[in-house]
Amino acid sequence: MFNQKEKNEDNRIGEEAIIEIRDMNKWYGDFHVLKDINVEVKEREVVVIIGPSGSGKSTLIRCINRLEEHQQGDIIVDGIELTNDVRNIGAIRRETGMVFQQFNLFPHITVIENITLAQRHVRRRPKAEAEEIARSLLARVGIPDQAEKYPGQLSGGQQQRVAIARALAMQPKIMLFDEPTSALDPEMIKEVLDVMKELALSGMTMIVVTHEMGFAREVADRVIFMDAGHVVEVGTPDHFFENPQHERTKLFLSQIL
Amino acid sequence: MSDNEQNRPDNYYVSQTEPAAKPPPALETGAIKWIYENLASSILNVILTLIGIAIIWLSITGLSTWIVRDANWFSITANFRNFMLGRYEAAYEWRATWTLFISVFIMGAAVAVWIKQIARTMLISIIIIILSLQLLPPIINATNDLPSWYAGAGNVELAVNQTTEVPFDEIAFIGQAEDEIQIQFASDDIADEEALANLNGFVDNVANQLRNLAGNRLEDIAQLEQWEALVAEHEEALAEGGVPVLTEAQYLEFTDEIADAEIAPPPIDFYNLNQNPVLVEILDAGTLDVVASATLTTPDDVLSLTLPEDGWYILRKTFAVSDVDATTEDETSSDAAESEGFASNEGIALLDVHGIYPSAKRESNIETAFTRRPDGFIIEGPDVTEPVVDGEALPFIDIIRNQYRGDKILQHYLRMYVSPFFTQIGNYTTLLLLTGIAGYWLAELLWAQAGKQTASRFASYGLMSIPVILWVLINGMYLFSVMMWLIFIAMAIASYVLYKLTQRDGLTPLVTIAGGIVVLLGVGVVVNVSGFDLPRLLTVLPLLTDDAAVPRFMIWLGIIFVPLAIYLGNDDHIPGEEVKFNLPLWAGLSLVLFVGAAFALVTNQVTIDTEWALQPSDARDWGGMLLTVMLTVYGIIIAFPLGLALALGRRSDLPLIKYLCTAYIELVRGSPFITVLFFAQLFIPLLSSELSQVPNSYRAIAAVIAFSAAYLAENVRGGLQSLPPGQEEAAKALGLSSWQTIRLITMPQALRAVIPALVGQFISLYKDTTLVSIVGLIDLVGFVGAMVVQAEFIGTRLEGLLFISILFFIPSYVMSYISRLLEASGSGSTRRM
Repeated sequence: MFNQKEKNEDNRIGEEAIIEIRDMNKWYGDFHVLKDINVEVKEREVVVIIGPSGSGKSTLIRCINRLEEHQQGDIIVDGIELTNDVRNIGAIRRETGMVFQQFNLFPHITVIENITLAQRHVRRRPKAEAEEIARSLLARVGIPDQAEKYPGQLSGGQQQRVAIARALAMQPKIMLFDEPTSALDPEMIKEVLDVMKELALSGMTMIVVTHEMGFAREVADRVIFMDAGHVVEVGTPDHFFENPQHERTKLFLSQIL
Repeated sequence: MSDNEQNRPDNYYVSQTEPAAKPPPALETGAIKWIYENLASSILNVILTLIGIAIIWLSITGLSTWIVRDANWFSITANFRNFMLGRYEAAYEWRATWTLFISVFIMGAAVAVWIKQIARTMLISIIIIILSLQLLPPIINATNDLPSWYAGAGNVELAVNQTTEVPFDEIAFIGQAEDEIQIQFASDDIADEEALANLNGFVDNVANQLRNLAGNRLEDIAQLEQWEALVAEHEEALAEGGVPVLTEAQYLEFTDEIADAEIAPPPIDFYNLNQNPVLVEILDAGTLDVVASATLTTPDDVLSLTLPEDGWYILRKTFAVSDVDATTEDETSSDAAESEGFASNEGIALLDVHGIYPSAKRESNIETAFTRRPDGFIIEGPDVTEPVVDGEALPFIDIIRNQYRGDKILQHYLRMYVSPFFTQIGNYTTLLLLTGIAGYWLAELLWAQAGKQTASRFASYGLMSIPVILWVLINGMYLFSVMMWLIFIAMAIASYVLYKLTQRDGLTPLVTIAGGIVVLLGVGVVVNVSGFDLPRLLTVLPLLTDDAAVPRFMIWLGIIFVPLAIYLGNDDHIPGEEVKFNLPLWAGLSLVLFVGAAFALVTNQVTIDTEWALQPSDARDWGGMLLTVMLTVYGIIIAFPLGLALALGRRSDLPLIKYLCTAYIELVRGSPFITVLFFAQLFIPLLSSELSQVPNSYRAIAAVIAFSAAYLAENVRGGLQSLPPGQEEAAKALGLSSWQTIRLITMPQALRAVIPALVGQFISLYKDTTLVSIVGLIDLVGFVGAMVVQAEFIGTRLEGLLFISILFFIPSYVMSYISRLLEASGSGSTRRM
């Protein structure tokens, strides 16, 4: 239904790389999690990262907004190099929204407060403006009438959509999705994927870690396949799914398709 | 298989109608089900139920018997003020009253705002309490009589063992106008020895000894009879060749005892009890005029009168017999004491007196008070003393020598203890409860008129101000003078202006602090130059003249706190938006006052001769419930931020902070509270000479704070650790700073998660404060210890402990009840995603 071709002229993939990861290595203690990662993401590009469990895909995107620290190599987001400088980290985090597998909504405040909290305290928006943005985003993700409820009163799919709205409210340039549908019942996966597709069509730069091959095929501009901490294969969805090159990729695809 | 099914279409079933809901079987609902399931579901359960019933029955009957029959509750009613306030200055008592009323008012509002669901139950309880407080005393007084006072009269000595008792001829007592007095022979009570031994009521020494004589004699007779019976049985058995009942040694011992047994003469006959006419007179103690008199000859004779006015009276009771010749008297009495009795015109009379009761004398350096125990009638004043006749103070009917003897009957219990106690606390409590209702009503009104937010603001700021009010009123504040108010207002205005400035221009905190210092110095200089006769310590002058280190410290503290409050308040500010009431700012300002006052008062250097000042109370005088409340409230309030800081510190990434906090927490948690208490008492004075003047109650508060902060920190840390790591990650990913993450995301959730643990800690802290009695503070337990060494209340420890256990139970239960409500209530926060 949605297709790459439907993206209008303004939303075409840019020339500039908005995320550059160069020769990045990461260890957990002695364990080498990410090995010589070189990834570039262009503006308005949708990149889907797939791979077996433990291949390091979540760790990779968590490095991008410094939820995990890398030990070697460079990560440059929107021209800002990710270093130990708190200001750089803050600046990058303001430009990147993140959606988690477990939603991670704040259970002690209402949905609308979840969405306005960071707007008010980080972006310093007045309450009224923040709430207006929050309500329009809730409408955009299709749950305008749940604003006053607490997260615990919503279904998983609704919670994840709130989480997307919460990230979008900061008006990030990049959205990171860390297995956004893995904790959802099959019935609810679609409602979240629809929101993500809509987002992709609107021209958001997205990096999505997922097992939803349908989504990858339909929406992704590029697919990255990772295994054992390194990037095994990168390609367009058509190329990737129809004609995988690497043995490991073929094995993986044969198991899940 | 499938063929088979197809061949049997009957087997295929489709539900066409939804079955209607039916009521469950009768035995499966209601009380019967409950009783069966909970009390009798198995044999073991039945046994447990029976054991439980037996235990409950035994303890209830045992306890209630003791409460009614044996306990001396005068120890509570007479010491009620001590239990509540200790030796807190009487002149400042109104402050405690005001604090209590303000607190209850605010709590009423809090109920209306947050826990409305209990309002109905509370209202009903309040109505029941008020009604019983107001209605029970008159009902009890109308239907029950006070016990009699039994007094001896006569012209001989009463010999018991080695001591002798002589009836007083004249004895003083306090009386209230309209008291009806009736004096007659105690005839029913001396009908036989049994009755005399079981006499119950207030008794003077003579009556008490008569009672003992009768009782001892009855016991001796019973013992002798037992021996004789055993010996007789033994001899009979021997004679018949049966099995001997006693061993040889026992037999010899018992026969010896029988041979030696001396049974005292029956006291009723021996002392010619009530055989002689008695002249009873009541005199006005001031004029020595006889107000009423009567000669009692027969049991029906009675002296009755209604006292004309409050004051001292004298009861004179003498034998109305012709004078006995002096020599004869001597001979007879010495002979008689050993043989069959006294001459007919000698002896003792036992009078049953209604309307005259023993009283207790309390002397302080200001005044003397005589309190009539059973009904609390009091005569007090600087010049009040017992009447003086012929230059000698007359003995008065004093409760220590006229105690209640015998088993109390329910009637006396109700009339002597319950009714006066209800009267004593009745109006106060009624007013207090009505104040609570007023607070509730006001919050309701606010809610209806100005919305929920206003009402809940009112209640929460009210609750937060209780500790400040408590400190200001109970401790007193010489800072609390007009001038201090001016300075305070100036500071507030200055801070507000600064706050506005920082918002507009985005000044850095450093500039704010600098500005704060300048403003405060300015205020100090202006106030100082303007020529007011300011008390030395109230000015900022100490800053400039290097005088009085502590007040200077306090000012500095203010300088730090105000900008801090501004800075913290500013954290959320959105440029261009209108400034709202800023809680951290005002909390900071209150803290300045509060901490400043605390530190300045620590030295107790200054008293101010202005009538506007609340003079500092001497913290050494705090006692009873007051001390317990101060220890608990400040133990919680001050330990709370400290505990949060320690908890965060222990989770810090900075090793120094982390290990310091860990070391502190483990050290304190590893020592018993009592050692922390002693440490504070003994070590703090060593630190500096100024601190050696710190009253021991402050030192105890410091110990409580230090102790509970460590436990609080661990509770809070537990709450923080129970949060899924995703919460912090999500906050970070949104760009919140770590301080914002703590303040907005983790801490609120962590605290909510550990409410039960926190409340549990507060409750145990409340009870643990009793340990301060060991370091010499007179808290509730300490006072019970002090009480039982008073002559009047020897042996009333159990009464005292039972009473204070109620004082501890009620607030503890309320705390845990409220915590349960908080857990159950709101914010959906107990739900996890």
